[in-house]
Amino acid sequence: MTPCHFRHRQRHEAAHRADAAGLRSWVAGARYHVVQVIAAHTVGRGYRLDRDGDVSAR
Amino acid sequence: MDDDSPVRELTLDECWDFLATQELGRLAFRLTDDVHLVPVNYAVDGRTLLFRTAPGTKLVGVELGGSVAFEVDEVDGETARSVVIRGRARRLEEPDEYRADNIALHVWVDTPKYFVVELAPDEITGREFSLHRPWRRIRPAD
Repeated sequence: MTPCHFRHRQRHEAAHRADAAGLRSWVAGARYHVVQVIAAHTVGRGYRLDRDGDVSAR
Repeated sequence: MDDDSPVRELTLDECWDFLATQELGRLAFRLTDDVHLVPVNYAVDGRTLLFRTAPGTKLVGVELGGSVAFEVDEVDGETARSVVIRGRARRLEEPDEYRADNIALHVWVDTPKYFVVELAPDEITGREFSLHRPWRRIRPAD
């Protein structure tokens, strides 16, 4: 397999993974590349909002 | 960029108008070798953004580096907008920090936040996207 074929196959497999994950483009146009983010550290927080009297609160 | 493009660059004034309509953004800053990204509620003051914070990573990041990025976005029906700021952040001292008292900068989470941080942009870019999401209109057959 040539390097060109290898890259082509990698891209093809990435596109399939993205499709299978339900990843769809929101803006019309060609997007040929798939980027994977590998989490090294993940944190999450829940906030109880206190916006009483805040006229901007919606 | 042609008129048919689903992506349109916002003008500088449009970027500021958009920032003024929003209250929640995401602050990205570097701390040692890591990039941190946190949500903060903010308000526009002149051509700067202000937010309140407590001692923690945000404040350390601001004090140590000061070079930050800030992003605000909105998805509204079939249109989305995003504004990205690259600039410098600094903690305001008295009497500058009183600027926060004269604008609509409210604390959303009821914890003490005694420090006011100013974000001064070096660069602002914004984009408006016409969304193409036909699958959202597809309803499952009964």
